[in-house]
Amino acid sequence: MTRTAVTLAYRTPSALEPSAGGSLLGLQTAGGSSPRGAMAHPSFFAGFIASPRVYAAGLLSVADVAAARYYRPERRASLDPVVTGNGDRLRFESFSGCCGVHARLDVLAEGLEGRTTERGTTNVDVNNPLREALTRLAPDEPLHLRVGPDELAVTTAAEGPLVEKKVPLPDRWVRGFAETQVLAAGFDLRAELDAAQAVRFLRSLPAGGTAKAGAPAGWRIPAPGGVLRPTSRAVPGAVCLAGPERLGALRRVLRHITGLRVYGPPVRAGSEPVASAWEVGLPGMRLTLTLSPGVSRGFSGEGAVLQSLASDTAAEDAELLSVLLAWEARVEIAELGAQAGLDTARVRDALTRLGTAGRIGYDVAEAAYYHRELPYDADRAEAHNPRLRDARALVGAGAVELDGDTGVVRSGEQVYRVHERDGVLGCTCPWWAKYRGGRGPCKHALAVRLVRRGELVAMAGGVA
Amino acid sequence: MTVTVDTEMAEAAGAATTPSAAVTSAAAATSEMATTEHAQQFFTERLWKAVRGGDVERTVRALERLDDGVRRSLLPELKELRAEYRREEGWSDNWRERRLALLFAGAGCQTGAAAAATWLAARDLRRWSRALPHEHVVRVLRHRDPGWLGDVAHRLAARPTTAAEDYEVIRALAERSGGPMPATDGFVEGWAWAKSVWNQNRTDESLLDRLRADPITPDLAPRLLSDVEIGGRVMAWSMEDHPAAWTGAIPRLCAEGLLKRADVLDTCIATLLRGGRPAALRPFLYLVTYLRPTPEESAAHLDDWAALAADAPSTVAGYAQERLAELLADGGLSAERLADVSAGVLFRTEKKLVRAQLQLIDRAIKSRREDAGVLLPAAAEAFGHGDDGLRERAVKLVRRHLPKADAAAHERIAEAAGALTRTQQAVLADALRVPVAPDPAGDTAGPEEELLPPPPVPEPLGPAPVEPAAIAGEIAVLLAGQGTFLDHERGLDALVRAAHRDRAGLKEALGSLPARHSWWYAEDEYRLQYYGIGLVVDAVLGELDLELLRRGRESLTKAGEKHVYGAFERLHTARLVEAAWGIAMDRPLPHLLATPNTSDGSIEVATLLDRLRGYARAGMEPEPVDLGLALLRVRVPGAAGADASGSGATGSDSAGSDIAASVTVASATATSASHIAAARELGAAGERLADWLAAGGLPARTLERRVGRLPEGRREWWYASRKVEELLRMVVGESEVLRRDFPQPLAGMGRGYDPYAQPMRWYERSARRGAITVFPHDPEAVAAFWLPAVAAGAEEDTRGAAERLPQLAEAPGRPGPAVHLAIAFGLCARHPQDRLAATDALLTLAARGNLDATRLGTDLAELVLLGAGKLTRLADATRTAAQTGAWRTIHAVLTAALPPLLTTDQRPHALGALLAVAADCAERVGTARPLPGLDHLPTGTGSQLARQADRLRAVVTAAEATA
Repeated sequence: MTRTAVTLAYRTPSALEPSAGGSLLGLQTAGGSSPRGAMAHPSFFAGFIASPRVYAAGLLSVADVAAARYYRPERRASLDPVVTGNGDRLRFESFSGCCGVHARLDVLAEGLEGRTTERGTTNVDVNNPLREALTRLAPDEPLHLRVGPDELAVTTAAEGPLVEKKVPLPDRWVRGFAETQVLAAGFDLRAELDAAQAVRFLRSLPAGGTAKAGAPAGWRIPAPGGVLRPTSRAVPGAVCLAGPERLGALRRVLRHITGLRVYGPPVRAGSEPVASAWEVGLPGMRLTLTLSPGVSRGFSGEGAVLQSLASDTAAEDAELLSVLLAWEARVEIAELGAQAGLDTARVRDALTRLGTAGRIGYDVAEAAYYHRELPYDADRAEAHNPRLRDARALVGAGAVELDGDTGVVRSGEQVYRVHERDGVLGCTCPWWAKYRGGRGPCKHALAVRLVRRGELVAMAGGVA
Repeated sequence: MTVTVDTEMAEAAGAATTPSAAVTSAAAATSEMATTEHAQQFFTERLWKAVRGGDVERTVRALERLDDGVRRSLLPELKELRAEYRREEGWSDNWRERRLALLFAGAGCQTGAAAAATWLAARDLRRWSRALPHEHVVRVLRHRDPGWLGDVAHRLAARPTTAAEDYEVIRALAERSGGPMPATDGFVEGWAWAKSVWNQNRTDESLLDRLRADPITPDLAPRLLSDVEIGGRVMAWSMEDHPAAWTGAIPRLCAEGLLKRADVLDTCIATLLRGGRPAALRPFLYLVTYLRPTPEESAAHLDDWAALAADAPSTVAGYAQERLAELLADGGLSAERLADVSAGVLFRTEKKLVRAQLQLIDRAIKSRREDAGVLLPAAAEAFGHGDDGLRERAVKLVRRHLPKADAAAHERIAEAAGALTRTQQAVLADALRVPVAPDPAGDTAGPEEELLPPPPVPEPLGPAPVEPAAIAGEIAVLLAGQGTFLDHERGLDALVRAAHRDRAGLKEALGSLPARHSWWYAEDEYRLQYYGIGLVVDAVLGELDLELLRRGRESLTKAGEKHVYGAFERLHTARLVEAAWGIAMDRPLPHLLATPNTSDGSIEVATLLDRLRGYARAGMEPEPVDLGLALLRVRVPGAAGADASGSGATGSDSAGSDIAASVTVASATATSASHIAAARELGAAGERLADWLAAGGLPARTLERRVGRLPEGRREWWYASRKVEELLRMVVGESEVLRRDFPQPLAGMGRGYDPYAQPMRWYERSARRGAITVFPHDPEAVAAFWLPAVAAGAEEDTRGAAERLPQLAEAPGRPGPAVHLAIAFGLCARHPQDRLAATDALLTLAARGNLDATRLGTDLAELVLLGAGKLTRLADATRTAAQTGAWRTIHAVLTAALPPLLTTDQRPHALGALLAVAADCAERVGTARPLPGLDHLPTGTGSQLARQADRLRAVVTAAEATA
């Protein structure tokens, strides 16, 4: 596994302190970017939170996911959550160490009592004393939130950061984080439950701490009356709930939820397990968990990201769009297309491409992209995608021949044929036989695609 | 050791041409550096010999003599060697030692601290060897200055993957440096494991002694206690009050003053607050319990207890709840705070916690009645609890204290009461000053509409691929053992069609497929069987052993097997052999006849007629098994087994569906006549089809429901976890038509099947699964064949027994007693996933209007009485089905199932759980008919059984009152 480390440098630890007329939650920031470029300690917000206790519980849920590994929990991983200011809302995001769960708390305008936020994305420090303090938050205490360093304290602490966190940053983690957004863009609303129904459903789930990796993925069919009927296999309209224990991160906010909305990709009878998104409504907030198709299956291997290679122009278009985006809460595709002079299809392709680089997020609740740039080097992670690397090696070794519509790939003794059917490149290799598109294209199909795009020369240079 | 070093020194001295300097230096100290150039060269050679030979001790010894300049010059070559080792394949006897020697040599030659740490942590050099011998590391690095050593130590400690196992090395280096000890997670974990005592009997030193003696204990122990994962892992090993266990040693250190008791307590509570896996939290809870907070400390932690009671895992929450109870008794907990905590605790699913919290509220109101207005609305939070008994408890509590509450409290309670059942609401209603608000979810708003899933729509078979490359892609999937039934059918048909159309093109595309030969079976038939679709692929490629194919073709047409299951196993092979034979003999079939139209395995008559016309055009005769299977799969209009109605209620409005059925039959007869006429024009095969349609398809086979025992010694108990002696099964009669008019192996399926005389073997289970694709119009016979395998899910707790029941329920033929019995077994299966599949099947039957609820209920009762069904499982399955909205259906099933169970002499275990489901259904359906046998049950005793029986009685009383 390729991994690097990231060092997050905060001025001071985040803390919850008593202040005049309530508590002050000072979330410290490190690194990140904004429309004004890269920043060391950006400030996004200062103001009162409408529902302090619910917000604290939501933030803890996000932090729980960041610190969790639902598969092989004895190993640890902890990256700080990422916060994005979109002008009218704050989004707190995290991704579990097992690469299987993405969590996002959207604090909407009413949750921020209408105050606006600066624009940009950064890491926020979540430490043990802060977690304890948030858990203990007394009822009915007004909460003043500040995302960013205290401007008054800055003058005295200008020498440099006091808190440094060095955290491993595995490539697959960054890749998976980006992948969730690409997959979520293909989700549709499957079910909507009111508060009572949602509580009844969430309480009926197993409460065990550790998810069972071997358990068969559960399927739920939305039935009238706010019921998510369990069923033994996939049918059209069903949502996959793999590792229901992973929804345990919602338990902290269970008391406060106002509803549950469930999203998933279209499935057909007998489908393999798929990803799903579970969004709970909270007063002035939304908390969304996106689950991978299996407890032992991270998002990083899903391969949806690799599909964006299909379009030749997507990379250039993406570069163009990235200049136009300025942390919008909602990216209007038509408007963006008009600005860039691109048609809708090309804008969509380019947005997918940006998603794979961690430079755009997708909000299933609004069925719209929003701008945020992960404060990690996601491009690097994507470039080191094992399947893509193998495909380049095949191209570099001259193993690919094009024979009309069919691509012939020679790999050692074996010869594989890559053919297109219903717009999907299939292959005769065992890997493809096993997943049949469920995890994106195989390395042979990618290699054929690369050759078709005429990247032979460029790639050969990249391999050496 | 000194002796060996001395001998070696003598060797070195003897070899040197200018010996005096070397000898003096060697004699002066055993590990000092060689001073002359010649000696340096000598030890360099020794080093290489030792490194390459994998002699760790000699490597270290030689390195100790080399100065920095020489060491630095060696580095490129050492790196080269490491790369060489990485490329190495296979395993040699000193594989590990050679790498370890290189590890120490390289670490000793690195001049930068960062590079040395990276080299020491190299995974490729230390695989299979966990902890590094720290004395070696110290020896190769001893000449470095302390700051450098400290740097290496801290760098190693910062590596999350190796820090714990390198604890000894890190500690030795840090001690030599004289600087501070690292405190990373990995180092703390390594320290904790190193201190742990595994077997107190083997050592005189206890963990307590070790911790007491270690100067860094006061620094590291708090770190351990603040990390739930590491602390949980290390301390949970042995949780007892003993100096050898962490949970015993820590309190003793507190008592001795080495650790501060108050700090330890605070740290542990904070760790509990942050949460983690319940198992990892246990030692922390143990410590907090052991250290027993004083009343003052407990009061200071009020916020913590409140948060833990609401959110922590149940054992921790239980402990926190006890502390809250103490604080309440001491007057340290205000009513407002208790109300706030209660709102959280009562929301939890754990019954024990909810019950205790209700008691707490009760006690609080009893001692200060003026608090009722604050506390009772909080108690009403439990009205929404999933457990009926707890709701009742909360209702009683609120009812008791209601007169003490103010108007605002009444208002809030009335609002919350909407979530209660009507019986419970009635208890509150007379004491409440405000009418109960209706529940927005509509749970209790009168009889409910029955919600069933839509009737199944069979999935059509997608278009077969035409492009040779696309066919190769699909066949690769099948060769890899993947793909559904439909994928197989479509792939085989595509192969046959393409071989007929363009064999050369197909041959080229298939040539690249992975190897498919199956050579490890001596018997022809097994060889053919395990070839799978590869048989046809090899036929296309011309690589097939024709002799084998010929022998296989002959043996498959013989009536061989004694048991019906063997025929199912051979059918697939027989079809492949037919397809391969045509290709191998250069008379490829134009297409197959038996490829189904839809996922339920059926073929439309019009489609089959088209296919027969194709044969007529090609001037070919169909292959017998293909034709036979096509006849079994064809949808015969107006046949006895055909499913006339698509949907409808549970067999209630029979008049309506009779009319619909007669209309369907009339129009079916007309189309059928035209089909028969068309078929007659298509040669011998067409005549077969015409006769088949005229006769109405395959006559139904006799099925006999029987309870019996297997003959002695015929049951495979070795894999069963439970024994059931009396077995309920279906005996299948012979099908004369199959035996007389169909080729082998289809004819073999016409044999009678007596499950008692031919007990199922474990390996037969999978073979029978295909039965539904052979007899899609006769699910009854299929269910009877499957019954022993499905029953095993309930009788012997096997997994996956019922997974195919939904297919049975969706089959186009009409389901009857055998299908109902199979579903009954599935509802009693051991594994939840199987019960879920049975529930799916049950709801599908209900949605199709084919469910006979009374039949199913009677079957269920019989299974329970025979010992095959457990009520806990059945209650779970029926509850799941009912909660999805099928209240009426499940009510009808349970109304039939319960009376025999209520009146039997020995009341079955967990009857109350099933009665609870029945009561849930009855309350929603609102029946006025008393359940026979309900009089046998107790009333008003407070037991689960009596409570549920009372609920059922109340429903009848209420219905009578309204009537």
